[in-house]
Amino acid sequence: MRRATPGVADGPALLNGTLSIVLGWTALAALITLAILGLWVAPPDAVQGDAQRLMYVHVPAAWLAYLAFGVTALASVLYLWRRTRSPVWDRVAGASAELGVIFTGLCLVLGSMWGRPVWGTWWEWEARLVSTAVLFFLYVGYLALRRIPGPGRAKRCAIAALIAFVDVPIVHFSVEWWRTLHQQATVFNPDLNPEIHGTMAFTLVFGVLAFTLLYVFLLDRRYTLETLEEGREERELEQAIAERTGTAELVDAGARGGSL
Amino acid sequence: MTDAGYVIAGWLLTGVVLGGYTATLALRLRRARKSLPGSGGETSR
Repeated sequence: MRRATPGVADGPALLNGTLSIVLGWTALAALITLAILGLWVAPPDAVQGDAQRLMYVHVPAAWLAYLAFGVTALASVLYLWRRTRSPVWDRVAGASAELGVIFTGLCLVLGSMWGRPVWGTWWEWEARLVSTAVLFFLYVGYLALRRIPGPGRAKRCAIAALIAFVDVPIVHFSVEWWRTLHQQATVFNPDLNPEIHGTMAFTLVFGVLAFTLLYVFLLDRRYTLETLEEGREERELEQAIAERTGTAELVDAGARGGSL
Repeated sequence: MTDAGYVIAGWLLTGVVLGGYTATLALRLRRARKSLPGSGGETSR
């Protein structure tokens, strides 16, 4: 991580330079602490044994998928609403969606690695798993759509993001709406008394916090990159137009000189 | 594979994915900053 003060070369970022650096180091420290807590300090589960330790990364990844796509949806609404329309919201939506795709992919793979020893299968065609996979591909499609240039690109993408977000509540409530292999909500389920060991509950909550810190840090970095790349594309376009205009003027001047 | 094997593989994968993405982002940011006008790294066409 570089200098503490933001300068011209930083480009417009969401966070102050110092805050971003502090956040990055804090997220790293939190993730290392999470690894120590999750792999050594927390006791093995009474039923699942050590395999349950995958939950300390699987659950935060799932939470981050919801959060990231929620931010994308909110930023898309703010872009579509005329009063708040700004390229800032389009960039926030794109940056957050990319992070959401990474965390959803991670959530799916980690869930599968947990499912093999606990369920006895890598994959099952059931509501929670399928709706999460659909969510992943919906936002991969959204990211692909963002790469198609043209007038109205940002508006088109904002609408697509809102359509894709419809799947988020379906993923969340799938375990209640359908009979699934995936268990229902455990920690915040009022009908259950999960009796989670204090250290295990703390590690789970700490994992969510650590991943959220990392998300905010990465969102700021990705947003800054998006801003810088947009600026570069605009400069290249202006340069190309200037070069073509200059060439055209030279051709015109040559043609006039030749006709005299 | 034992339970511990799945756990280690899962945590390693998480580290590689998140660390790899963060490093890629940092590299792309550095390259984008170098290409800014006045940064001394821009190549003129």
